[in-house]
Amino acid sequence: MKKLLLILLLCPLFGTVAHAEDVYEQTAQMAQIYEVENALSDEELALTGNLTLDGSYDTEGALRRLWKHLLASLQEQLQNNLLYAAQLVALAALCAVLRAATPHKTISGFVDMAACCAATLMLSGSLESVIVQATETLRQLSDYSRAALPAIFTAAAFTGAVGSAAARYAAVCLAMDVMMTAQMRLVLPLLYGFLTVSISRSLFDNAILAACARFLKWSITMALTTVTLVFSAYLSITGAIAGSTDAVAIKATRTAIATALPVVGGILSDSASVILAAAGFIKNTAGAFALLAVCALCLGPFALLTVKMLLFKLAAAVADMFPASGLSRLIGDFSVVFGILLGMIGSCGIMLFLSIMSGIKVVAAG
Amino acid sequence: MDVVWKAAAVALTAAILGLLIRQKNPELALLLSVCTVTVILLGTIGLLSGLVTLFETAESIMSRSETMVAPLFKCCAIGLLSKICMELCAEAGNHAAAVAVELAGTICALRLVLPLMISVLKLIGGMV
Repeated sequence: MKKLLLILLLCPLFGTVAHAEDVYEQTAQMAQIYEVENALSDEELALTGNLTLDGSYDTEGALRRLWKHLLASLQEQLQNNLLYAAQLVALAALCAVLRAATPHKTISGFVDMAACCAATLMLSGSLESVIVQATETLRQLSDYSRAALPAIFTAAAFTGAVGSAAARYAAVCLAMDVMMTAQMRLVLPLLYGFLTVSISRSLFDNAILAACARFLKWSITMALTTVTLVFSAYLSITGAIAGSTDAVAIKATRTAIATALPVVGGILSDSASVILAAAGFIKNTAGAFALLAVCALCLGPFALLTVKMLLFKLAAAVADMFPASGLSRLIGDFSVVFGILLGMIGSCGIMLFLSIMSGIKVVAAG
Repeated sequence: MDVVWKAAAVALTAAILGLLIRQKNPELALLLSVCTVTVILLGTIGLLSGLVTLFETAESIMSRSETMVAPLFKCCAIGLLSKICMELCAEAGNHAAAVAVELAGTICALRLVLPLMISVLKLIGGMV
């Protein structure tokens, strides 16, 4: 009796406070989930909004802000780049008139050559800055993947899918690294090669240069398509292999706990489920935030390159009306360069999207 | 349209007169050809105002028109001048001079375009 009374008196000392609502925050801190937010600059955060894990993150608001920013960027780039297109069309018209007025065949060829040189020099500064901006965007996407993916996959591991999260993360890291390196070390030099050959072809029209330009353009398109397809196939295969083991492991663990500790074991098992569910919620929220962050990162360069590509295509079409074929071909090749840069950023964005989706889709059922 | 009619009339008249004069006095025939070319070109100068407007419009759109666009106009002028001189020399029977004028015109036009080409080649070199 005395022993029982003593035990009952000492029981309150072993009591502790349980804050169920802190589970989300603590899990987020352990998974370092706020890295998906911290890796962004102020401008991008203004578009995506701040990450909140209490269910109040406004995805629709972020999408609306992104859409408005896209429209504003498109308008701004249109105003800034219309002058380039007008300059090119004016040059093409001038070249056509002067060629027609020059009776001497050789010298009229020099008129065409001078016009192509003038167009190249007029656009060289702008072209270089666009390539640098595109390269910088690729670097930003790569840096963001290094910050966001570990956080998302850690949260995915916290949901209990330790094996598949680890396997997918390893696959994603390897694939992203290889693909980004391939883009920077293979596609970008090929792009410069294409630009060089196009400019040379406009000055010295030559069947060999034309064939080289076609080959380089085909190589770049194939490289970008192959990189993206191989990446998505690799992720799909890795995900399929790693997906099935974690469900069995979690079920076995919960059964073992419930069996070993008759009453408390069941409570512990259910508490663990709460934490797993919290981790799942955090992973999905952070994953959605990261997807929007990738959109915010790509938005500016997308608008710039889309407008430039379309305007230059239009200028090439107008220049084609004049009998100055070298110049219209050169302008068309410049629009191809902008299209390729757009494709590079697009493929990197898609790969990052697929990586984040791969992390979100990690589920340990049961 | 009037200018073309007048130029055609002057050219045909000068050609017929030249045929008549050439047998007796080939030097006068050549002089007649030179005068005909001069008169026809002077008559078309008034129509060049459209080209001047085009140049001014292009200059207003393109910021660096003097360095970029001036070579095009100069090449055109060199082409016209060398072609006319070449044909006049050939008409006078001096084919060597005709070829020399053509060559001089080509070299002068190339000289005008060279600075632009060198700048572009430097740009290409920088990319590579």
